[in-house]
Amino acid sequence: MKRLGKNIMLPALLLLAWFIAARFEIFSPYLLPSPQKTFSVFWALLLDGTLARHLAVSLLRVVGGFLCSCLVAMPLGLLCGRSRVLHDFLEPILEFLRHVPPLAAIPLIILWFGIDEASKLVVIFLASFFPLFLNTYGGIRNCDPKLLEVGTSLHFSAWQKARYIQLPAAVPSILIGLQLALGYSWRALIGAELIAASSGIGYMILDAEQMSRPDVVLVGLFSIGILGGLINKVFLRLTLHLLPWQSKADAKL
Amino acid sequence: MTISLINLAKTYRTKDGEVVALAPTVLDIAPYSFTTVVGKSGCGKTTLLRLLAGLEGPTSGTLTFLPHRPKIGFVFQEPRLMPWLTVSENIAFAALSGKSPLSGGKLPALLDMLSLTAFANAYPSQLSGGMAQRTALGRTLFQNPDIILMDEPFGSLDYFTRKGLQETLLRLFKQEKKTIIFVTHDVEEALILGERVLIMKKGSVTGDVDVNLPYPRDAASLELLALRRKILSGIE
Repeated sequence: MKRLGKNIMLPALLLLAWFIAARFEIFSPYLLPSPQKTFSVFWALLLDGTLARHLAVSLLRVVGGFLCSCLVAMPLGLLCGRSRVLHDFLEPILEFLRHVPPLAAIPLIILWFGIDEASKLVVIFLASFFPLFLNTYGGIRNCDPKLLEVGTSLHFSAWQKARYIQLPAAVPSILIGLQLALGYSWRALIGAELIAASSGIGYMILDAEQMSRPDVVLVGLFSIGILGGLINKVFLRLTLHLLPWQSKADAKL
Repeated sequence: MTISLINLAKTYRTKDGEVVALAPTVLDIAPYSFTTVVGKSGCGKTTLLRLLAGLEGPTSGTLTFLPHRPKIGFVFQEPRLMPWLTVSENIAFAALSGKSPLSGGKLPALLDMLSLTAFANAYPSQLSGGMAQRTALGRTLFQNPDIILMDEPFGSLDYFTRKGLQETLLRLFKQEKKTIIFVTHDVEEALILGERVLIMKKGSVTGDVDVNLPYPRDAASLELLALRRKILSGIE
């Protein structure tokens, strides 16, 4: 309860500041609509299904791109973690791509993949690839050599050491990679939708900007933040479920 | 199961030149015996054990096991438990290699012998040092090894926990036919446990002392104190 109080203190203060700023029209209402106005627009968009439709489209894009990224980045991270030769072979090109922001590549991506769903999936894929790859690779590489030596002393084969020691040891790092990648996916998606889309929460924000509706823009921004936070909460729950040994670490016998 | 070392040696290359971890060593270890190895830090005790376990290869010399290559279990200085596995899963970890099958009563019997039944579902992060080391011992025993190599396994434990584990080990030695080689820096521990004490100094085995005393041994007995003085003078 005390923690909840601390958690909501800053948002409550910001809301109060927003309320006061709007009430005394410190900024023009065209720039900063009041909280009441924003909430009523949110409610209207929620009731007529507009918000849910745009959010669902964006969510599907994130899930699609993120899953594609998982399917490529995680196995590649595992293989590179196990094989120094493969890592050295791929490193120059991966290091080059890592420093190119997906948003910078959007013009080329649109040229190659069109303005339909494929281009958004590619942007999300690129955005989430590196946190997933690097955390999987790092998790495998940083496995405690003393644990691997236990495998040797128990006569494990190289495959058994990878399967039963390196992979479980890398799970916490992989989960952090997944968490980061999910956040990066959202950011990249909104960027992609702002540039080329006819649906999705990014499109809704851009459309509202062109219609001079800052209240709708704010609703879009809040929706992204709240949905991202909720997804992160679900993810943390999943993490606790997958890592019971970490959550029980405090409960010493 | 006789272990024979013929001029077995290990040298490490460092940027400052070669370091002799184990000078050419000739040694025989009898089957079903309890041998302890004592010496100062860096005298080559752990290198000797790691060579016997096959965790490292020798620079020269040969190591033979007669009549055939035995199953070797290793207990490390630290428990080295898999943090994501429970106590019982850690003990049965060797079963994953496919070489040590998980038969019906094997795991409960080990948990019981090591007084770990009540903690079977606990994770390593929840265990005390003694419990964790007992789990590590259980993991080694699960393989049913012919030879158990132990590298200062009780070194970091408190006096009472160490005593308890020493008793467990002696019980195991008497009940099951095992060859045990136990490395320690504690001369008293070496004498309480070993039938034979090897003294190591600067990478060489410099002393070999038979301890013909019945178990359990009293560390304050005159015979043990005399042997202690003899070994200490060999180490210095």
